[in-house]
Amino acid sequence: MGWDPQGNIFISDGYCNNRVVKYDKNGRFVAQVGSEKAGNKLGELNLPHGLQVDERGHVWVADRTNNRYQELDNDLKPIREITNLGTGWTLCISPGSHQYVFFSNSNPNGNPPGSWENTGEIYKAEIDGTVIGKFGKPGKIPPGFQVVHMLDCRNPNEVILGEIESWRVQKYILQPTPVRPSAGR
Amino acid sequence: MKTLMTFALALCGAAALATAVTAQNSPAINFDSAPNALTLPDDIYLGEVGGVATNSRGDIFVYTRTGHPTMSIASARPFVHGGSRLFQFDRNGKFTREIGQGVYGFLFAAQVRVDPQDNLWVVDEYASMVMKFDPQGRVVFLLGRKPESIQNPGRAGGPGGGGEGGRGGEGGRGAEAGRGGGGAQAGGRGGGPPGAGAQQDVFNRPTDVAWDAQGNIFVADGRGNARVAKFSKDGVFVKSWGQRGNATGQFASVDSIAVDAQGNVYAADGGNQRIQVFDNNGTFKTEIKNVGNAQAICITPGGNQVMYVSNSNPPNDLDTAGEIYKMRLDGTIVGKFGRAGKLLKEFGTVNAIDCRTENTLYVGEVGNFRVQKLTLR
Repeated sequence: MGWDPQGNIFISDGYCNNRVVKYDKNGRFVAQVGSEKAGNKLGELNLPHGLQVDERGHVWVADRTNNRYQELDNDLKPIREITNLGTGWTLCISPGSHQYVFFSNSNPNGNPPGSWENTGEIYKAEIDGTVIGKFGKPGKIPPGFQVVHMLDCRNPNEVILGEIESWRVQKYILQPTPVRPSAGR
Repeated sequence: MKTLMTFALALCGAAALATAVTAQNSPAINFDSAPNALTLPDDIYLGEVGGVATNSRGDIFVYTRTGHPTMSIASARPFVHGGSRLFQFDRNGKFTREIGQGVYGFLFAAQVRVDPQDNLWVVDEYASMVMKFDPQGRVVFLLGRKPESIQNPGRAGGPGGGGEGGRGGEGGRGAEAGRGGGGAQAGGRGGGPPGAGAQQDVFNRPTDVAWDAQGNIFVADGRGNARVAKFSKDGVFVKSWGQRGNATGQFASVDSIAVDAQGNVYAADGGNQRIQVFDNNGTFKTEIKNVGNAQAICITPGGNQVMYVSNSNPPNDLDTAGEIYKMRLDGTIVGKFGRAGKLLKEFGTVNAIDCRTENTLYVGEVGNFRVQKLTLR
């Protein structure tokens, strides 16, 4: 779940329903996107598994079984989909004036042979979706990942992640990015 | 008389005659069972013993089904937490401590083994996990994942990954990767022929674990799947082999596993009344067929290795089987001891044998809620 600067509440719902719901800060229903049924069109969802809201009030959804992320506006109207960053299990948006988005292409066990070693990475992107870089790979031994399920990025250079299959939390220190793309979203 | 004669001939070293020693006429090995081999605090009990193992200091570890039950509702398996416990005893059998109390993967004890570095490896049959603990008892890494207890309706991959575990065909292929992984969470994550399981560490009722000299890991997987899975020492999947059946290289189930000093893999295929022997890469070498329901096996460490095999009796039958065989690695029986029963020196469905010392065995029983310490003479 997440909140926008006005305190509106957004929930990804979830495993059986396939929707994102918006409530006002007092908990009254405002809007939803998706439905109880899974779908793969823009604005449809299939296992919305993670959700974050940026400072503009845009809602970012990890649309897991559709192997993508969706960005929605504050009224839950779809803006776009991001399909090149793997299976969206979770994402994190750092706070502050210059926000970053972290996407986790978590490596679910049961992936076909050969792909396991090619997933699991976490992408860091500008709020316009421009990927700055990636880090991490799957593995049983730290610093490997075993299905990252949740990210904390309160400090965008210090990512704390929780793993489903290794029963552990790891803290990653990211070296400051030497070059930033010029502004101009 | 016939037994004595055959034994005498075997001692003469005639290989062809030696292999004629069979389950029926193999010589008896004299043995004792220590009374009160383990002493527990007043408020701790053993239940069905899945595994027993010793470390290099002689400490004894017992993984036992105790406390709360697991239960099944139709094809779903809602798990009750904390159904099994891991206890440590000193070399004199005195209770030392409990390890892993409340850990997420302890449901239904299958086995505990200790590797050459004294790490503890706990195999849980219904969590479908192999958990590596360091000698201090902290988790090092995990293979497999406990299935979630409630299936998600209407999910892609759900039917395939449901209660039948590894039988689903859509476990994960090509672009279906995300679905395969997701759907599989609801139960076993399947793929391939019946019982073959998915690739990697996706287990369905694993039973046992063993290592070669390089530290590669071999998992007996098991009773839902029917395969052997090999991993590097860091837990990276290497390969797996086997599926359900009774042909060469197939298993009714893989009930126990051991690796000899040369890296050969001995997979106990109890339901097919045999042990199959593979090389380190899973190429079939031979089978050992004269030991009945091989439910627990153990190969002694060091040179001149021997193997112990339990022809375990069914839990509800004391009039069948129950004896343990001592054999050379070529399958030649050296002798046998014990029988099914409830008294000392009798066995109630042996599920574990520790043979760190060739003539001092620890034997874990499902039927009798106990561990026996045996001295062979």
